[in-house]
Amino acid sequence: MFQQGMTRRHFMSHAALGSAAVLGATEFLHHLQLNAAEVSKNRKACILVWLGGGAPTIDMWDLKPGSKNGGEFKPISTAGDLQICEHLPSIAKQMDSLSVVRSMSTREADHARGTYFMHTGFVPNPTVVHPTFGSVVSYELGTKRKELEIPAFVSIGGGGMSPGFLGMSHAPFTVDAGGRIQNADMAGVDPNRLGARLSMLETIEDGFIKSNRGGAGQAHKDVYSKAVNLMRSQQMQAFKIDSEKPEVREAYGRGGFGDSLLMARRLVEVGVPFVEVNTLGGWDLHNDVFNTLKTQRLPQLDKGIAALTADLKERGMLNDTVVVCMGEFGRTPRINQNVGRDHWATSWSVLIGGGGLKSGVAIGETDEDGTRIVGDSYLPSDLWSTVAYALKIPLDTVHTSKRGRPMKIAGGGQPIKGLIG
Amino acid sequence: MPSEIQSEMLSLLNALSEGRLSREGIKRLEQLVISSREARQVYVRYMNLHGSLAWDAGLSEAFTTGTSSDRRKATAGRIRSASSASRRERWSVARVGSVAAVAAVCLFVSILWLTKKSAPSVVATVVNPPASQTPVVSPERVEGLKPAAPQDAFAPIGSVTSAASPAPSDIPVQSPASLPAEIPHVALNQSSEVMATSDQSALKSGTFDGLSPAPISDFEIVSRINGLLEMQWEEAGVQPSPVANDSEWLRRVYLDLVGHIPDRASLDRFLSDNRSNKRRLLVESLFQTPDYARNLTTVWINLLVGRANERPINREALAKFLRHQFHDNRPWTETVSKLVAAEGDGNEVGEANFLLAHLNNQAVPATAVTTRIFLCRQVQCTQCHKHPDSKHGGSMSDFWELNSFFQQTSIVENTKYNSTTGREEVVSRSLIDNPVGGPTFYDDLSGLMRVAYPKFAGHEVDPDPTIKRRQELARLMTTVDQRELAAALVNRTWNHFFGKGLVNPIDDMGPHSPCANPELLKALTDAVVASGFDVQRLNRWILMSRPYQLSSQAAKTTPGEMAADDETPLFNRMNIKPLSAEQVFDSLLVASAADHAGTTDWEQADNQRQTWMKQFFTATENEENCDASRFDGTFSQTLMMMNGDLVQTAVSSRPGTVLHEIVLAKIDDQERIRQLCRAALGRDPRRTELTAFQTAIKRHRDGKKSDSSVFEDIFWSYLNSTEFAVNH
Repeated sequence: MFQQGMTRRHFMSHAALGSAAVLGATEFLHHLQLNAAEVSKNRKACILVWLGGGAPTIDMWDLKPGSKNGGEFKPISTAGDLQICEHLPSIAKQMDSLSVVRSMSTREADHARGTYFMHTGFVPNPTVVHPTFGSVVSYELGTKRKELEIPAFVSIGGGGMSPGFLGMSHAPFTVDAGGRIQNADMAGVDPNRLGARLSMLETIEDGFIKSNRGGAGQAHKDVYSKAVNLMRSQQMQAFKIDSEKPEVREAYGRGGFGDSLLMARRLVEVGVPFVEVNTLGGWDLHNDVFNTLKTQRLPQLDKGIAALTADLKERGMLNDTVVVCMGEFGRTPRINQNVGRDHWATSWSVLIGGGGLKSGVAIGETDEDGTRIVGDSYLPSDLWSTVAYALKIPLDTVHTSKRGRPMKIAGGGQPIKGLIG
Repeated sequence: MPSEIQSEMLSLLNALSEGRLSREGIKRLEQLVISSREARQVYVRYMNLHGSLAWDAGLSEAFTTGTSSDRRKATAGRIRSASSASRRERWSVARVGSVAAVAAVCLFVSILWLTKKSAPSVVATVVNPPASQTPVVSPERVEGLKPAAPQDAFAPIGSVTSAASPAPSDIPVQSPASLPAEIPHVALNQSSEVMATSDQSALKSGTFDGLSPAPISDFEIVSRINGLLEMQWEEAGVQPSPVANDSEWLRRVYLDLVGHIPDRASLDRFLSDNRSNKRRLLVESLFQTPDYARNLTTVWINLLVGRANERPINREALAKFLRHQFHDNRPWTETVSKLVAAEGDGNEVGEANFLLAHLNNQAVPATAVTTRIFLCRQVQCTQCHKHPDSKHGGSMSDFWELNSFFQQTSIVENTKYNSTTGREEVVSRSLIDNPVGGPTFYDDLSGLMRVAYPKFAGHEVDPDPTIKRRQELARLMTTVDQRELAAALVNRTWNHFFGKGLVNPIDDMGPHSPCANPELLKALTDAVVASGFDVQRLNRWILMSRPYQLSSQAAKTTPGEMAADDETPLFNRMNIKPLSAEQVFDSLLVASAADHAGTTDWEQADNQRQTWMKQFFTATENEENCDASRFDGTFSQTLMMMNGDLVQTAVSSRPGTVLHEIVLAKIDDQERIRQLCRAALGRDPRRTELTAFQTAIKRHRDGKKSDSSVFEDIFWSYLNSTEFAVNH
């Protein structure tokens, strides 16, 4: 990765200094465009829509009408072969393109542990930090996309997940829902001067790197070369949702969440293989769950996910783009004394679609009160294996921790049969 | 080592510790010790063991009988390396009552420093030649004795191997005028005069309540840290790194202790200081600065309420409380008790703001945060299920039993009529304990409602409404079950200085988490308890220990790669610690004087910093009150350093900035480069840097460009380097 980064950076800085004249400018651009058209075919990507706090999936994707745990909402029919919540009518119309896995059973019902487990496929372990799956995709696919000048893993809204032993060069690049990247312009420093500064910096860095102090110097240098690429790249336009037509923005829903999903689509379009959207939080509904869902969370989610699905389909990208929508766990089937639901990891649902996966179906089931899974249950490792399968990342891929411990991709899970069958 | 030599050594050592070794015997012992590494190890182990046993034996009398302050020269006890002068090993004997007690083995230069505040029940131990008959003096008299300025070069204390002068590949180019006494060994070649002075400044003390098992000296603890780690290095077959040079060490200790890099004047002063004990003196002087208390406050306030906590609390009031506690070096038990049991208006009672931030969601965060911060224990998972390691004892009922300590407490909003708006407005919030009793109710996994009564670590508390439960919790945590509190403080402090805890992750201690050196954790925990939870002393022990003196540069025989995250840390080399956002902000100000938000007005400086920090920290969207950071060494931080306002100002040659001063000064370009490097990195430029930058300056002048911009670029490069971004 570093090698590439450096080549590119050297190339770019030379270009800025005018030594790219070897290759005629027009010819060069043409070459790039051709190349881009070629590679954008079959370019796989994943958009993870994170419902931080743990969404009450029993009220969204797996309703239990008639049970004491059922709550206030009714199920409605959809374009797919399953029912979902009445407050998700737009998604219902897109359900022929999406599926629900109703048999997630994931053990970890603490926010931090659940977030870690659902992002990595591994249970937290004090001796090693596993990479979040976005970093895995950055490592596997991002490094192969030479045309990509911006980071291969973008997190809109952040969330603090770590690239673990894959290293900081696969850390999420975090932006806010407005796509503003602070300090990305060079504040009046012209390119020649930046080039001069970077070459001075390189002298200092090389001295430190040679001083036998471990990898920190090299990692720092890598990040700088990427940051410079980023500052100089046309692909930065992908963050600028202002350039979209008003009706498109309207369709996604005005506001942070709609904007983020639209930005995610734009990023995937320029070749970013993994985008995480974490701008619709507030799912930790220990109190007043139905009111909050009905009036606040579900309308936004409904509009955004439906628009994203339709947009991807229309642009012919849905077959190559997996969309996953989940939080760190579900919520208790039992309704507590504050009309809320607490943390629950034993039986809950995840929305997944696109990427050529089977759509319009419900995978697995829970019992009539939603407290138990009937039949096979799935772990996050199975879910991420399914995603890896869809992204055409070989499932026998093994990563090695810094200490040399081999780790199977996605925690060695098995793709969910009903989705790949 | 031949066995006859070993047995000869043992008999000499026996004689020595019993105070009957002749002058010839001492000479012979000295010879043996100098002759081989194994012999030195035998010596150290023997004296260590003997010292410990003697203390145990002499303990009962120690509280009633003081010891002598006979100031005779300890010629007999001195063993000194004649050849390299790179080590000096001394030992001292304490007489406790009639027991001839070998107190501590002093390697290199002796001495411990006398803590300034002598507690009433101080038991002093005194360096004493073994053969002398020691008069017994009363504790009062001992207390009155103030030693002359303690002499030492603490860096190599306990170092047994003869460390040759390290020759790092990047030895800075020093200007002749400021060649420092680079490695502390240099300072060890001392005259006997210094030795004599050392003897006077005898061992020393600390505060002990009647329960404390053993009076311990700082020196003894430092030796123990060193001994335990050296033993581990030997067993693991690893080499310790060379001792860090003064530049590396000074920058490190500034960042760790006062939260920012040294300014140029302090750096120049330190590098040109030739006193042998300058490292120790510097540490002591930093303890006295306001920035020491401010830095610890920053570290702890971030743990207590986070950086992005958006709950309405009075952060300044909490900071003020913490600053006072750290500045006055109040016992950690007192600080924790106050935080846990605080009542009242957050504007007036600063410590109340800790729980004002965490009482949401049925006090689940309060329960989890209190145990995680103060006890390094993760209980929040047991809120819903048993701890993965059931030996850990975590279960749902344990969680809710702890939680019930917080169930009497509520937040009351204090309002005031605002005549402008015509409305009652909230002006502050108070933490109030209500006289309610009974259990906490919670749902178990099958949805059944259960009850939990207040119980901490097996101690049940009366659930009666009149019992103030948080006060009980504070009492149990800080007195009844104080070892856990001490171990957690040790682990956090160790992590603060070494970038890794003895147990990792640092806030998940327990049988399921591996400990790098259990004996060391135990020794330091004991020491913290015995010292009465003296935070400053704990810092001092670590700062004076051998591992803290080591370079981040690998020993020649060791691979350059840092140990991976998942390896057991051995502390045979300083870890590289990324600077925190606060450290970067404060260090940029020190390096550049980009802003005059000095330390005179804490609240103003802190507010500016808080505003700047907002770009990196956001509260996470759940009810557990955590925050997410973008200050992680990647893009946000990098772009800020390359293009951010603060750096732009720092590298502008506006009047008042350091850069402006250096550009205007009547010095040559080489000296300018040197000054810029010192300002940013606390070291002198490497040759490669000098060459490259002088060339750049020349090219720049040939282009007849305005003069200062090339220096702006040089300064920019230094500030953007890895070395600026890390503490190593």
